[in-house]
Amino acid sequence: MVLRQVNVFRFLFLCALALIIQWAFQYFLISDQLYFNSLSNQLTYERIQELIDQSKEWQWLGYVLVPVLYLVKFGLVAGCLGIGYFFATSQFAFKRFFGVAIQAELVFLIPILFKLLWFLFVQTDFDLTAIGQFYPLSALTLFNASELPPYYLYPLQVLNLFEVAYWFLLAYGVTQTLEMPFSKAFSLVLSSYGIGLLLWITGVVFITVTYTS
Amino acid sequence: MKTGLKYSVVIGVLLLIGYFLSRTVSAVSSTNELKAKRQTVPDFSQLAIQMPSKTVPKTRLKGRTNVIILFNPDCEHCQYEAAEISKNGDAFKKADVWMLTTEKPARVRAFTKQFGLDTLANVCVGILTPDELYKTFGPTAVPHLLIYGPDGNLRKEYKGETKLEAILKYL
Repeated sequence: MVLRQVNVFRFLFLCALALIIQWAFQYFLISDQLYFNSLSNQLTYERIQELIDQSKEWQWLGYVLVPVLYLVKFGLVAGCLGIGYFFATSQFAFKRFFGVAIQAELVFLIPILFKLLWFLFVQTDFDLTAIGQFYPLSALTLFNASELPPYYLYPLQVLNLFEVAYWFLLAYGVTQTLEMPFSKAFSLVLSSYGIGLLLWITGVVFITVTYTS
Repeated sequence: MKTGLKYSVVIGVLLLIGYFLSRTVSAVSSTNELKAKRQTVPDFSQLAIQMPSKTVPKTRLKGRTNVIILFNPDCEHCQYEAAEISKNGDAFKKADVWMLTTEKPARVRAFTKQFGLDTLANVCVGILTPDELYKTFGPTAVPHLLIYGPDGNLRKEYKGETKLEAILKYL
């Protein structure tokens, strides 16, 4: 009962932070001018205006989807860790892993915040593509993203220092929750979540290659 | 039993990753090959293109500027392109416009009539099979515009809705 309450509190706290950052993104970075600058080469003024009106009309959906997508992600991460743990010990601990996943997710708010500050104060001249492709401290920053085929972008974005920190945080969470040595917990994370992530990336790349025109 | 289940899951996941990887590698090579083919104007005489509204010699692709628009009659952005071409038929005098789709002839005929495309001399609306479309242009979304110069080389490619000025710039 206590574990559930703590997880609910953590989840609400994380969602609140994510929603605030998302709102700040919309408010400070995504202006009408940005749409015009990014799309005027290909679309007429009227069509861009229609697009802006539509995006404003559906903006609420972006906020509603935040907790939903988080629930799905935590479910998948806890599922991976749970399967790995079951293979190792023949015991189930899904709920505890769910809490660990919520706790570790906080690290992924840092690059989003970093991105917001980067475009607010450092790279103040940007377009929609630049916002979409930028991921701080990722392998993608070593390349010129506009010259890469689209299927390279996602794996290179995922390969970032925050992802590595996330693995350590997951392992730390597992250590705390299941009273397991850190090295063993880290092995569990790599062999379960790591394989899940690899499967996810190959799936995304496969879809990108198949359907990108 | 449990050990068997564990091994099955691990092997299943590894096979799935292997499947995605092998399909990705083969898709990348075939997609690159098909995208390279887009760099020159396709030979329409090799394709079984149906023209539900009029008959146009397929050899017309040579020596002229050609705008190929891959479309779907039900796509709002494609309807926008069709309306723009219909309203500004004179602006395309220097080029031939080929609007290609994989939809059924009745639907295409209705679309052609709706936007008055059948009244424009240099606009042809044609149908080809999804297989032919893929083999000729590779993976595409609609609308997808390809502008070829009289030398047959690709001048400009637009993915998605494109305003008239952006097309005319390359004619």
